[in-house]
Amino acid sequence: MKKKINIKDNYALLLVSLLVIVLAVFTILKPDTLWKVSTWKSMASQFPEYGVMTLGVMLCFIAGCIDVSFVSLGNFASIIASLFMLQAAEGTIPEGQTGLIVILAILIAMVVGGISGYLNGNLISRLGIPPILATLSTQLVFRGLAIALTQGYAVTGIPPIYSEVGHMDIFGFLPVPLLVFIIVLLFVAFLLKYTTFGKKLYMIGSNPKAARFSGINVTKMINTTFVINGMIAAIGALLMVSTMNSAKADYGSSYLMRCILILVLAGVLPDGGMGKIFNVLIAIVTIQIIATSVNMFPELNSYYGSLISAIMLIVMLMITSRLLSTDRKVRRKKKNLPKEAG
Amino acid sequence: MEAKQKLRRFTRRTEFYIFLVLVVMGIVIQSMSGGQLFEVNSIVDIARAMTIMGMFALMNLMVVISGGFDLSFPTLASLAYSAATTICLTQGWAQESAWIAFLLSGAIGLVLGMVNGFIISRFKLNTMIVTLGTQTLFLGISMGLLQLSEITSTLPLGIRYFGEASLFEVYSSTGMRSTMPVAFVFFIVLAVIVWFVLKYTMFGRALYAIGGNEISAERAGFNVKKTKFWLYAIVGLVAGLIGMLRVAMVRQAIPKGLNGWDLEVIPAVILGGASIYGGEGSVFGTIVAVTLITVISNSLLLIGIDSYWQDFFNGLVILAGVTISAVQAKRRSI
Repeated sequence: MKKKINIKDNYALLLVSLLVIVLAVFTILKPDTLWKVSTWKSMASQFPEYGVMTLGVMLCFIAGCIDVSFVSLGNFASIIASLFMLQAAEGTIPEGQTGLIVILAILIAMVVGGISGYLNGNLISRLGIPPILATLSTQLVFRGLAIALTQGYAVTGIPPIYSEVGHMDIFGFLPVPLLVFIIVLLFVAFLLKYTTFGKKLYMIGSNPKAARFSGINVTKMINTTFVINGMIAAIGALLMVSTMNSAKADYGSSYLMRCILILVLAGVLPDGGMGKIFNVLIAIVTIQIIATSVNMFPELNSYYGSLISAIMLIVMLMITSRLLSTDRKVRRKKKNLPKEAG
Repeated sequence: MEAKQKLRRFTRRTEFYIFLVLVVMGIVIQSMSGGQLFEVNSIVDIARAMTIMGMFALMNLMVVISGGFDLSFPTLASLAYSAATTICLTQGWAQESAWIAFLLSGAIGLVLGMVNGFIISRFKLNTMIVTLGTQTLFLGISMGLLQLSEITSTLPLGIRYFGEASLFEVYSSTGMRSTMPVAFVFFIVLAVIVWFVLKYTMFGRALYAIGGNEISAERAGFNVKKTKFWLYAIVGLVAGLIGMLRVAMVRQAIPKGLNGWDLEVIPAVILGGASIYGGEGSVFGTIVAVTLITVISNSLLLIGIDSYWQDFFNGLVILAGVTISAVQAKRRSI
């Protein structure tokens, strides 16, 4: 039996041990506050906002497209939905119809997100603009539209039922944002594991030319991916609206870097073709635990969280590049050896 | 004959189209604003507004030519200038002249740039991801570890005087005063240096070669590792200096003052005809693109568009620009 160092199999192990280390460190430092139910509950309602968005962007990364427009796109969608709710609430509505309007608003947000995603996708697939440039410019366009619609102010006065639902616990323990996250997680996991769409996505990411020659409609695939990504980004932004009880063009501006950080940490590189949803889940939880734990120290501000995650990212990159390069060397050596029979 | 060929080659380049767009936009804005755009003071205002962005764009041009991306320069520069200003303030330095502040800021920038360069050249990683990480790292250092605070009214006098120094003043027909800052000279000087380095030095050749094809560059005898390391180190050094220049111009040192600039400067570089895959790009194109963006964002008010629409129009212009260059590239490849 030959022993093989396969970085892709070991990566999940590496991530889990990282999570264990992080947990151990903060357990030693703050044993009584970290293991409180309320701490974990607040975490459970915080990470879905960007966790959901991360899952959407993950699909784009697997297809080999980086997306930097998703936060602005989501905010744009949620602002339109909030403005709709305000307009609808102006005419006094009977008690029973508020729920209907909220549901309509959510649908509107998702449609706007989908259309905006379709725009992103077409710029990349049909016009051939490199993904980073296409989404950089649409980021400005979406944010610009959001600012122009709201004149830079937050949209307030959303029906109270909306954020009430957002703060509700289902069965007394499951916060609604977490439920939304789980649904999106299951959806993305199903898409990647059990559908031909998922298989094609990996193929496009690892070799677009080969994918095209084997009969995959790359244009359509990329468009669909970005539509899904846009809808998921809208869901994430809707969660933010329920937390803040308002919508604004620059909410969640730190999420852009955080989501990309999580994906890279999870081994989902924008080069495409790689990415496991389990790793992404572990990375999301790790980052959230760091952010929450840093908050427990009164002398540290939240920037320590980004400091720690940045160092972690760089160290992980160094470790994995080392492993990959030794892997490459081993392979090269093998090629030079004379071929053995059998 | 040769001139004709040269002209034809020039018209096929992206810079040419961007330049045309700039001229057309200039004429449109000029007529819509009732002749306000080409007033002397309006031109001076645009020159003033494009100074810092233009300098950052020139440094990023070098990175893009080498096939890389530097997303970390905004937090790098703000960490450098905030730390330098804080040191000057606590030590009582830079009261008479600003050189020590520039020295400090540049030195800090150099060290941070070396961190970038070390990681990128040693580990052969994707530059976008590395600089994304160091961007967050530098922000964490300035806002978390050092807890640098905003310095506005207590800015050392030397820096303040430096920022107030002007080359000349102009008045518009309605009596509005505009001053040309000294920093504009530095912009011109930097442009000439970058142009010279890219065109006539071994280092510049190495950048184009690495951006074109890294493996061929290595086989051709370029020291890829060393070139990359010094590229990011120098970009860090100059970013520190540019940051201090901005402190002097806006008379305040804010640790988060440059956040988000990466997402505006890099598209400007690409708009100017630099290839996102490396190996292509010119100083002329970059300056034209920065001028275009500055003219548009400065002129929206002139032609009576609400300033809230500024981001939207900037986005549209950049989108149009990248579309042109993508379509151009497609046409060339066919």
